[in-house]
Amino acid sequence: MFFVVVFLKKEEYLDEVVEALVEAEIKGLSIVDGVEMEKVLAVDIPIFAGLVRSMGGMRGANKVLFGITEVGDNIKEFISILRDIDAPEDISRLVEVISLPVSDYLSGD
Amino acid sequence: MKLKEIIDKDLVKIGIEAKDKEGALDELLGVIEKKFKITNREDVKKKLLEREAVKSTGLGNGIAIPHAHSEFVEGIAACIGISKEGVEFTCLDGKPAHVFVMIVANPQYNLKYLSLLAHTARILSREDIRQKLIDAKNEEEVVRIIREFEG
Repeated sequence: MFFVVVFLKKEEYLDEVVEALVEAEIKGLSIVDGVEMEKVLAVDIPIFAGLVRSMGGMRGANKVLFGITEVGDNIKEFISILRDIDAPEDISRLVEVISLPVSDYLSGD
Repeated sequence: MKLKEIIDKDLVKIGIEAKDKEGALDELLGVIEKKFKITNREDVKKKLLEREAVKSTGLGNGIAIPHAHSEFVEGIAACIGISKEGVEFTCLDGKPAHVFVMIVANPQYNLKYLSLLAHTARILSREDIRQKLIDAKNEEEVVRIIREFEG
């Protein structure tokens, strides 16, 4: 059993990422809206306001998908599918995927 | 799940004869019935039509992926249909559908069914694959194109 986290840096590719998860038979993840830490720094903390210019093209919003999957091979399959997606950008370069083995687990199911 | 795990030449029909959506669903269901056990055809067709009523599975770019769950299907079943002329399928872009992949499954196989659906949508999102399928001269060639892509 693995805890999987997917950080998607460009939210416009969320459909492709979710479809790839489903294709890899990974289900039940939660999806939350995220904000790049640098954006908070640059926008909300006055001393770092200069970052807006120096970062050039800050995206700001991202998506974070996380949850439990039972089979580790599914994560490899997910990454492989991401690499194969026919999109204007290589989506596998726009995500960070982390999986961690889970030792203790309590489910409401 | 990949199409090559299910599809063989007997599950491919080149030259879909139907002229409308319901006719195409009937024809594709007939292809599936050649190899898969469907114990209540009317129920499966009803489920396919209900799914179409929610939103057309004619995704545009000449493709349609009609699909449905039914307890009267044994396992997961699929077939491919090709129409060079195109069939009016209320596609999202208003154009006819040329490549059809029908998927029907028992609800017990939901995860694999969704996986196959996502996989099929990804394959058919590629223009080169779509065109190769439309240009295929026979059923064996369709199977070969799918297997080449899926590796």
